[in-house]
Order: sequence, then C-alpha cells, then structure tokens
Amino acid sequence: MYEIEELEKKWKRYRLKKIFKKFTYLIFTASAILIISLILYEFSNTKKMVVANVEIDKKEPKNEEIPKKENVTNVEKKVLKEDKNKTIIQDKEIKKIEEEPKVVVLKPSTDFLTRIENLEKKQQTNKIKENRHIKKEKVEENSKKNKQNETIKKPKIVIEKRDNSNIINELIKKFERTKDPKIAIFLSRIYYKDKHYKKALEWAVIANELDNSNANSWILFAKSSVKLGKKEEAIKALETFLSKHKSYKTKRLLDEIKNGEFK
Amino acid sequence: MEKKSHYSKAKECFIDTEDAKKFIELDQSVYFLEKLKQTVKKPLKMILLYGEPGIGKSILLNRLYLELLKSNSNVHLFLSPILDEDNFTKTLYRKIFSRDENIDFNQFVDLVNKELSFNSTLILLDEAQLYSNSQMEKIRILSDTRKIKFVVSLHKTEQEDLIAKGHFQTRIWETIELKPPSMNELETYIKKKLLGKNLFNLANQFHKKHIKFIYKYTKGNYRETNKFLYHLFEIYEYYEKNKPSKINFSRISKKYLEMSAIKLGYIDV
Repeated sequence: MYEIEELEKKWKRYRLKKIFKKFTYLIFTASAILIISLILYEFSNTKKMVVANVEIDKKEPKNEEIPKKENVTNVEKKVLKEDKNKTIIQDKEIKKIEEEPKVVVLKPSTDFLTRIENLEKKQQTNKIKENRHIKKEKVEENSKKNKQNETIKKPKIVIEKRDNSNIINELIKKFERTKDPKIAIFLSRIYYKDKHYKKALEWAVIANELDNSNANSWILFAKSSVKLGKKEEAIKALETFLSKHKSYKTKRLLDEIKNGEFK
Repeated sequence: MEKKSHYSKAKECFIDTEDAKKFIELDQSVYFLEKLKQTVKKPLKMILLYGEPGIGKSILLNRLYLELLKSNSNVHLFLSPILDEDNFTKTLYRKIFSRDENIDFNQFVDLVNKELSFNSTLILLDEAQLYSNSQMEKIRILSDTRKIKFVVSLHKTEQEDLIAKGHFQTRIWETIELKPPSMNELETYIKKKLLGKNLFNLANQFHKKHIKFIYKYTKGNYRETNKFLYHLFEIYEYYEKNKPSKINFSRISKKYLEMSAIKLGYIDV
C-alpha cells in the first residue's frame, strides 16, 4: 500500500519538526534561565556596591573638613610645624620599633568611638563658630566626666595583658580612611597613657593639623612635650591656643606646667 | 482460506456500527440505557435524547429498542428519517397496524384514536433534526393523542432549535443529554471491543499513555475513536504483511498511533 508509505514519510517529517521544536524550546528555556540568573547576579552586585558607596558617602564629609580647617593662622602653623618636624624626624626611627612590641594597656571602651562619631555629626550641623566652641567645651567637660566615671569604675575593670596593637592598627586604618581628628586624638591619648610620649606627640600634631580648634590636641601636645622635656614648647603652644580660644582646661594645664605641678 | 491476523480482526472491531449487539456496556451507557427504560414507562408525550454526533445516541436507541421489544411488541425504531411526508405516514401506518394500504394523515390519526389504547405504542426516531417542520408538526399531533409516545434523538446543536419551537416546548417532558465518556471509560470501551473478539494480547498492550493519546484527539467520541483505532490496526496490518520486522508485537507503537493521528488529520504535518 503506497498510502501507508506516504504516511510514514509524513510521520518522519512530523518527528523531525517535533524534535526541532523541543530543541528550540530547550535552548530558549536555557538561555532565558541564563539571562535571568545573570541579571540577578548583576543586580545583587550593584546592590552591594550601592550599599558600600552609601557607607563611604557617610564618611566622606569628614574628609571635606580638612581643607576648611587649613585656614589657620600662620603663627599657629609655625609653632606646630616646627614641633612636628622635630618630633616626626626624631620619631621616624622609634616608630618602626614601637609599632611592633606588644603593649599592655587598659582595654579601651569602644563606646567612646561611637560617642565621637555622634558628636562629630552634631559638630557638622553647627555652622556658627562660637556655638561650635561652646559645644566643644561641653564635649570636653563631658569627656572629662566620662574620664572621671572611668576612673570611678576602675575597680571593676579587669586589667589584662593583651596585644593592643590590633586595636591601634584598626584605629590607624580607620583614621587613614576617614581622616577623623577625633581618632587621631584618641590614638594620641592611648599612646600618652602607655607612656609612648613621642607617638602621643605625633598624633596630637596630626589631630591639630586637621582641627586646630580642638583643645584636646593642644593639651595632648603640651603634656607629651613636657614628658619629653620640652616644657617651653608646651607653654608656647598652650599660650598660642589660649590667645585665640578660651578654654578653662587648657588654662589650668598651662598654669600647672608653669608652676611645675605637671611634670 | 487464509487465516485472519490479529490486527485484521482488531481492525474489524472498530468498524463504525449501530448494531445493538455491539453495544459496549460502560458505566455511562448502562446508566443512560436504564434511565431511558425508566423514562419510557412514564406517561409522557415525548422524550428528547440529545448529544454530540458520534456520542452513541443511535446505538443506545438501538439497544433500547431491543430491550423493550422483549416485553412490548409495539415499539418501532426509525434509524434513518423518512423525508417524504406521505411515505412517512404510510410507513408509520404499516409499522403500527401491520397493514399496507394508502392512507392519508387524518385517516391515520383517526385510526390511532380508535384502535390504539392509551400509551400503548412507542416510536423511536433517530436523526430527528432531519425531519421537516411539517413532519414534526405531525409527530406533535400524534403525540397529542396520548396513544403514541415518541423518543426523539437529535444532535446537541439542534436541541435548542427544537425546544424553541413553541409547540414542542410543552410536550417535551423529559430530556436526556448524552455526554462523552471519561478516559477510563474510553479505555474500557477499547479493551471490551478487543476482548469481544478474544484479542486479549492486543487489549493488554494498551496502556494509559496510549489511551491518553487517543483521548486527546478524539475527546472520547466513540465514532472518532473507532475511526482512530480502525486506521491504527490498518497500519499494523500493512506492516505485519510487508515489513514485519518493524513491528513490536509486545506493545502498541507510538509511531503507529501518531501515523494514525496524521492520517485522520488530527496532527498537521
């Protein structure tokens, strides 16, 4: 029967078409899945990048503060730069040695850092200089209170020997990223407490370069200088600061240095 | 004489027929048969049986006729319509009164009123959609005598037309709609047909997937299924005769099912 053979040929054509359809369907589905997964992958990447950018953007305004604060008086600059040059050159060799050894310190409260960030945000909103000074005085007083609190709570603090270099390294990294003068002050304070006065002096200078209106950088600079036997430099620096700003704390330190109460 | 192959026998199973002896008892068909038997006992003027073409109306009427004939001799079946009006009256007269004379419709109605008792005669009319309006009017007049009852079978599409004719609306007291079988019923139908010819081996070769394939195209229509399987076994018959190596005798080939579907135009190549 010719008819059946003809039918078989038709059937073969039909099978070929069916296979071709299945094949195209498979390719289409596979490519669709591939495209969708690629889009999703790209989307997740961009999302991560956006989050990272947002974090960076939050920190960027701190960097902008640097050029603003470069408008300092020549007198102040001169005094500090002289000191800085001296101390930095002297300390270059010491730096290498001092970065490595393990330091025995009190475990620093990380709350302090968050407090600094909060205060910093407040400072950014204040445009009027006078207001800023008043607030900074308050901050100093608060930090003083905090310090007092810390000293009151001292018996509760477990003093332990531990490798503090990690925290310091973290702080340095953070500072490099944010150029936050508060971190420089904090580092200076840590070094001062650890009796690494040269380091403390160096960080006080760095903090002062970024924000010369902060009394703490001047105080730490003066204290470290005294400890390094540079009493006159300390007095000169504090007097320079007091000629521009009013700070009870700075005045008292200046008196103590002059009287020889602070050695 | 050459012995017929299994496939040739199977092919013959599916030759479309209205022979009541080939009525396959499925759940649904048995139900409709019983329902019809109960309905004709009621004092109704007219019963309407409708459904899609090829759904089994004719064979059901045929089966009903055979069943009723056992108990009642006044049952008459008209499988094909008599289109000539005079001939229609004469045929009815001849069938009911077993006489062969020329008689007009009015005389016939008088005779029905005189000679027949109440609800005594049953006329089964298949393909009623082919009757003209005047013929239908005559059927209405005859049903009004309450001596002759009619079971009218027609396609689903015409049902609305018929009911729309006002004079039928009040007379049709019972309507029975035949529906296509389910896939399981179709499987039973195919297997019973094959088993009826003692083709056990072939009946066992049909699995669910084969039935599903057939049902997909035939939608359970018996006439279409018969056609499908007739062509399937015709293809088998050819290969058995000419290329037996191509046949797998242990199961139904999907290839041949597809070829059958192509031949019937279900699959467009």
